[in-house]
Amino acid sequence: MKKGLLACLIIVIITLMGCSNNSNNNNTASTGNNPAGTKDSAGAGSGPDTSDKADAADNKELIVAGQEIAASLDPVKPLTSSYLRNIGAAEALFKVDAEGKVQPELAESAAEVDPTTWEIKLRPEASFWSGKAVDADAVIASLERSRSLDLQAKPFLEELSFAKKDDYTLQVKTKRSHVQVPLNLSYYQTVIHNAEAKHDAIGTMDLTGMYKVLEFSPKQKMVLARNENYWGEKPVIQRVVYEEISDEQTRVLSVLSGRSHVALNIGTTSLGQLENSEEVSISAAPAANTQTIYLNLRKPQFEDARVRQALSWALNREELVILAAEGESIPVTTWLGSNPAFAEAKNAVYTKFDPDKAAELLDEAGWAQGADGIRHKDGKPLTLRLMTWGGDKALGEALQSQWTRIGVKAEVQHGDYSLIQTARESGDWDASIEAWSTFGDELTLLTGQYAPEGSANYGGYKDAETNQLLARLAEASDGAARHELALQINERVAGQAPVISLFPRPQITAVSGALHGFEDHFRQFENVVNANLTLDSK
Amino acid sequence: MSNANHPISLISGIVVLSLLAILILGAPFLAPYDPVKQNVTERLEKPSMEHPLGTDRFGRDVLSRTLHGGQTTLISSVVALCAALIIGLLVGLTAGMFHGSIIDIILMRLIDVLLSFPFMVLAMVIAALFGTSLIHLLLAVVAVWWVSFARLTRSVVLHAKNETSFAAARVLGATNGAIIFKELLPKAISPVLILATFELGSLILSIVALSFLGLGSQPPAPEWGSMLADGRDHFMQAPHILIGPALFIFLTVLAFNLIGEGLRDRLDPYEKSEL
Repeated sequence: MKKGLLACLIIVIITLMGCSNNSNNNNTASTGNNPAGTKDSAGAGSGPDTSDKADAADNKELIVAGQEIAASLDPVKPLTSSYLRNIGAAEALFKVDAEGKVQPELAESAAEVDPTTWEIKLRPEASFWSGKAVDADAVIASLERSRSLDLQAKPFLEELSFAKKDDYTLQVKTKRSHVQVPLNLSYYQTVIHNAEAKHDAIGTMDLTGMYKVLEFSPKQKMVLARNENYWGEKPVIQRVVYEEISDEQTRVLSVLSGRSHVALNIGTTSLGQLENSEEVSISAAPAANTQTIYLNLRKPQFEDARVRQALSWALNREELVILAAEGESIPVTTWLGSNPAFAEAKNAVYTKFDPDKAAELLDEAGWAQGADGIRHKDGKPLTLRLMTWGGDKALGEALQSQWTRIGVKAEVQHGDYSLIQTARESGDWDASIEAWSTFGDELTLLTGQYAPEGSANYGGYKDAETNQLLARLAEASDGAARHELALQINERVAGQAPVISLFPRPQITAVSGALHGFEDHFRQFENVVNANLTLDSK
Repeated sequence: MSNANHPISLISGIVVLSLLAILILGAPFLAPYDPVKQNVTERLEKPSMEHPLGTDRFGRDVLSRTLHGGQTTLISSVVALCAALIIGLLVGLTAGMFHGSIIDIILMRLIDVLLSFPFMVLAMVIAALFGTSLIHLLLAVVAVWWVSFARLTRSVVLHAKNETSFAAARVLGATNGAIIFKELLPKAISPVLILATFELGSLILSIVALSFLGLGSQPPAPEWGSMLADGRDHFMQAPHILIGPALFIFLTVLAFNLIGEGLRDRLDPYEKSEL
């Protein structure tokens, strides 16, 4: 009798505890309101319980842990379109593949009619979540909305004007000749959204992606379900949860414990934990930006190109990748080398680590090595003060050590980025490290870096031959010619060495072994979800 | 724990400090490796016979860096303390000597301002304005640290001014300078030195904390705070990197606190009377 009563009591307690947990879960789900504060009926109570291990049965749910997710649902709000595209909710007219080639997405094709006119054909089968057709009117309205409301979209849209040719053909006029319109319309800032819809609530927002937003807690969690009316190939996985976990260590633990399937933005220092795991693999597609040392060419010691070249020859980039990026990158010797579309530029000019050549160049330039190991000229030592910031302290130390070996008295000053900016304004700097994106319109990128008036030409590089090549690039009409000229400029600059290219910044994603079909991409931040992803059933 | 007859604190503090001093000052001879030489093939190695405390991400020997790093930390702490002590004594003596005058009022208000100003923030401001370096860090520390010495000195001077020896010196026509340096300074030295011993432990911790934040010595110079900061990045992978600097910081601060306590037991008249 007593045993029976005890058993009943235990059952009652367990039942009550279970009810209590359920009620908590329901409360959590119901807080998943839209940013406008109106409760979303679809989201309430229907959200997955992510406190348990990832439920992967029958490709049901993919859980992605990101450092940050959207604060809004409106694609014209800062970075929102990036997060929406990353998770399969939003699409643009074009998309860049992992090789750096622009491919049609919502557009079917594009053709340059004359130097300032493009025609873009749209897919008649494409539609918004609401069922509305993605026709020329809708696309123009979307792009005009982005142009007027999203400052980040301006660089890609300000030179373009749109007109409807027919229901599914768009005419794009450009202010200057040979603008790469498909490339401009591939950036996440140009995602196509229904401009007539209100993008302040889940129920009213209207995009085109393979997943529809079901539940949204700003800066916390977004739950998406498969768009059953998707115009393209429907995804295998039914639901996606995109969670914000700002702490890197927590993201790592989340994927290691099986709570998440993908953890984005993992630092190199967490690699040790992941490497020992049999359940998690590391995706480390190099990003399309090059860790670059910018030299101040106004400083007397760097006026001689031979000194700058020596600094580049003296670097063992493979060792730098190991010491500063935990081996999760690849050496590149020229600036465009990190762009997959310019893979041939990876090891151009400085074909190998050659300290002897570096020493030879310094000897030629009159910098003789003294008894203390430091090189001197006219009684002055060859000095270099390298300013670093953020996560580049280790890189600075590794560079310092390598330059010291050839007799350069190198100093590293690690601090806030504002210090570098102040030093640049005053001219009191020798070298600093930055990593600009190398992906985009070649002319814009190279002019910004190497034209005398370029915004990233910090060191004051002025070279007649480079300027001539840039002028030819501005006039080049076809893609192949532009590509060739970009390579020539890249090579010329590397030879003159106003900057020294090192390696692309590592971009590490931890992927659960249960997830299949994950694609490495040099712009991983907008390419995590694809239609072919599948999950193990166990 | 101790009293004047059995100065256990003082003796144990001196023993620990002496051992540390031998290891740290003898680093050029005792350290098995060059503290700044990188070796990519030996990075993040666990403690072994070759590297008793392992190696860091650059393959540098952690023991060698810890011993050499002690020089940077200790010497900079002692330099900062001496500078703060001298400023504090001078300000305290002047304020006490001219008690109630405009000089005293200005100096005391300045002290009030500095006491309420967090020196970490000051160090960050200096770093933001002039860049990060050990010199700038020491400037920030000294700019704030002299205050406690000045206040103590002033209170000792005010107390001493009520003594007959002070009145005698005045009657005999001694100059202000002579009174300050011959009459008041000797009386202030002993309590200020006791305070300095205690303060040195806090000062070391503060300098280490600022270096940990990247505001101190710059690479590749070894320094305990920056070693801890670098080791933190690899804590999950190679926790042994932190052992060396952490242990030496702990022992050094402990040694100075023990010495300070011992000195107070021996020199502080109030402490004696309590005992």
